[in-house]
Amino acid sequence: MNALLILIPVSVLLVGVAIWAFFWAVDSGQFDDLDSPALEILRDEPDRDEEGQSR
Amino acid sequence: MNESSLRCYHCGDHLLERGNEHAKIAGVDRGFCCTGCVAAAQWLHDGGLGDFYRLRSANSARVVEVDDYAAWDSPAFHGLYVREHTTADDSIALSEIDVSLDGLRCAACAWLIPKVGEAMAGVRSIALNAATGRSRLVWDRRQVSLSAIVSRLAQLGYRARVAEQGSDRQRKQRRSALKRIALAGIAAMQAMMMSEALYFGGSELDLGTRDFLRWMTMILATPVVLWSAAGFFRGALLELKFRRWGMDTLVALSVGLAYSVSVFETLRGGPHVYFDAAVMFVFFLLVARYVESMTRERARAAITRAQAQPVTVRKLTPTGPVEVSLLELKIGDRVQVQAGHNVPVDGCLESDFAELDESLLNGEPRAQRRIHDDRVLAGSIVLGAPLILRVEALGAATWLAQLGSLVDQAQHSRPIIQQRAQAWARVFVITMMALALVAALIWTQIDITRAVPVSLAVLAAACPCAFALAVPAAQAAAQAELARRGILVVSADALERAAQIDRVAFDKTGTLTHGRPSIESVERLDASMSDDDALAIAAALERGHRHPIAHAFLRHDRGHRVVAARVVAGDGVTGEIDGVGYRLGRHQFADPNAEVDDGRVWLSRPPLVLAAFCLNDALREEAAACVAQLHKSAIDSLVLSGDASHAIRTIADALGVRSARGDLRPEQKLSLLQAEQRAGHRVAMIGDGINDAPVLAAADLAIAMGEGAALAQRSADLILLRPSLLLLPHALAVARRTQRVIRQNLTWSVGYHVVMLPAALLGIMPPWVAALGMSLSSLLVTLNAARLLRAHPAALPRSVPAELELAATP
Repeated sequence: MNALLILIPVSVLLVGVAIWAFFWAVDSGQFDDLDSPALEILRDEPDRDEEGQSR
Repeated sequence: MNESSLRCYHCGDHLLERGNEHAKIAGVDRGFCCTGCVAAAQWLHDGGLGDFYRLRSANSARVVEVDDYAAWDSPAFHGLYVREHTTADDSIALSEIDVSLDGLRCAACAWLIPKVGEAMAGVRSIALNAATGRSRLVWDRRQVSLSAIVSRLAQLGYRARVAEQGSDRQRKQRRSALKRIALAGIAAMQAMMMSEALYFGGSELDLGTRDFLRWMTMILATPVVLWSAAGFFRGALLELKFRRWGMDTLVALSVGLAYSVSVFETLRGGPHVYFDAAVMFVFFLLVARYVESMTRERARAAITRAQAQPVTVRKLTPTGPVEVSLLELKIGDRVQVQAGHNVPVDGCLESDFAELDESLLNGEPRAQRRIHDDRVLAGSIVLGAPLILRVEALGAATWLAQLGSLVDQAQHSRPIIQQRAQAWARVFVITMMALALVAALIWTQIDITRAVPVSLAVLAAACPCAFALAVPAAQAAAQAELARRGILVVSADALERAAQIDRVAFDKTGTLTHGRPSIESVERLDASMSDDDALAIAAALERGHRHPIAHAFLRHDRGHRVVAARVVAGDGVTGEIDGVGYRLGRHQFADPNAEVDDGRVWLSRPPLVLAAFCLNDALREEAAACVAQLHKSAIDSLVLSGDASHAIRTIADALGVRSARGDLRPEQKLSLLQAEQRAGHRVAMIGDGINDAPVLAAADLAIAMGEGAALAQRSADLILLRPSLLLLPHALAVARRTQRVIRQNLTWSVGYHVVMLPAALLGIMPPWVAALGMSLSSLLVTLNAARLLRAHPAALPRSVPAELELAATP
């Protein structure tokens, strides 16, 4: 039972860390737009020099 | 593939046999409807953005004439809307502005717009939030002008308007709600785990471990109750202040009671704690409320976008006309409004005579004539000649803005079924409090040691958590499912009414058809003129008009100069080209000798009839499937249209609609609709909204389609954001399922109380069973509602863009 006395406070601390991490993610705008990033991955990167031309 | 090669590569308009633009895009010859679309596609390809055509799932907005954005560069405009962009590196001064964009059709637009920014020199970034349609532009003022950026966006079909303030506040609220949910969710998981040990450890748990676990659960539960649930307590205080007992009171009461009893029990080492129940309840409720407010915010964003006003107006000064921003105008200024534009202010007419389309304001489809000194309202559209106004009311003082705020108020109202549930819950909670008290008193007589556990069990069993969740959880899930498909629920009890619909009335133009007629054939009656000449003259006469017919001619314009152009509302247009007068319109209008209207558009140089154009408005591909699906769910359809009867007959036969009427004026449509209602039917009306506003208002359920008229959408209960009729049977089916789920949820939660309460009162149920039952009951109700989110692909086939197939072939 002594293990519980250490492990349970550790789990509560971990909960605190998880919450802090989520708050940080929300504050840095990770959840502001959930629609556009899903499409980003579909884009084929054009060849380097082709892009250079277009600029 | 055949079908798509007959459509414009950019906007998907039907192409004609002749008179199209062609261009090589990525080495493949593509057809286009107009030079604007060619330019857009060419620019996208040259900029390495051709992927756009593969990613999108809806056609782009057609590129119409690009407005003059010069006023966006004026110092006054910059002073009002443009901010300094702050960066870590101060060496470059950047500017930033928030705009909202029209013409966002699908997620690929959200992909494209930031790329447009990357491809323009001097633009630092264009960040787009696809959910709200807002963009933040950041650019270097010395390298590129703001007007150049917004013109570029307009050339691609996205018209920019200055975004109204308040987006920061919304974002803050959204972020704070997410954090509250996260805290409650994570803490609920952990608290549940420890409570499980407390429930099932039973007598094997020594007292020290038990108290230790209780203290740990309390540490987890305290921030949830004090911070995550703060909104409920605030709401309960407000309800207390106004003596309007609602859901917040119940929630605050059960959460507060469960928490404070648990704290008390923990401190004194009593028999049971209820932290887990309190925390889980808060979590479930927060999630349900978040989903609900998110879908509402989406709906509102779409509406405010449609309602936005033009940014600049032409002000008349003693030195000549200047384009100024709307905010610089003052009462008493004189402004000129071009034909086809929205009137931006309420004012007094200074021109001798004007013709206005006020259908957005009052649904009156016929052109209104106004003379000198008459009042002209913001939101009317100028027909015929440009007019001059003296400004009387601006911005929020205009009649249109006041109407808008009324609608906003209506939107905040709760659905009727939820109000009913609240009324029941109010009676319920008062009864329960009384019962708990009575039970405690009686048990003190029987067995004083059992009085406290019994009244706690009664309160736990009485907590109407599942009852409180039953309706809002189902509503929120249904709204989220519909929003994902492109259906916005605007009015609060639209879903309840949609579930009862057994008749759907369609308007023809723009609903069953695309609403964009194209010229099918030209019959020449005068040998001196070629088809193309006739088309060019007709196009010049129709130039600048907003009627769909005018759009059909747009691409044939060869730039003839028209003088004395006039619109004869409902009949046609007249004008002079090279000193010769022409008439274009209905048969009787163009040729006074004609007796019947054959539905074609006639061109004459009185008294000589020159040509007749046959216009065809193609039926939507999915219209027949829509009608068939409705019939399958025992919903009858009818067509009520103002178009020629024989054309309506053909369409009705093609679709399998039994009852179809053509040649109807709006008031006749209205009386036919009311006749159906008197016969006991619940009728939904779907229309593009411009001419149908009164009919839509009278229908049991009003559905507006596409990005049509702004205000007509506001009288709608549902808005179909994508121009696909298949959304309609889907929406009605989801509404029916929602009502079913709500009934199941209510039955469950009432039945649960009926069984649990007597058990608690008789003292055969320990408080912890009641608390566990409460949590499980809430969970069951939430999961039942979540069934509405499940995809039903059979009901709504995902539209595969034709371009995807094309891209795969070479």
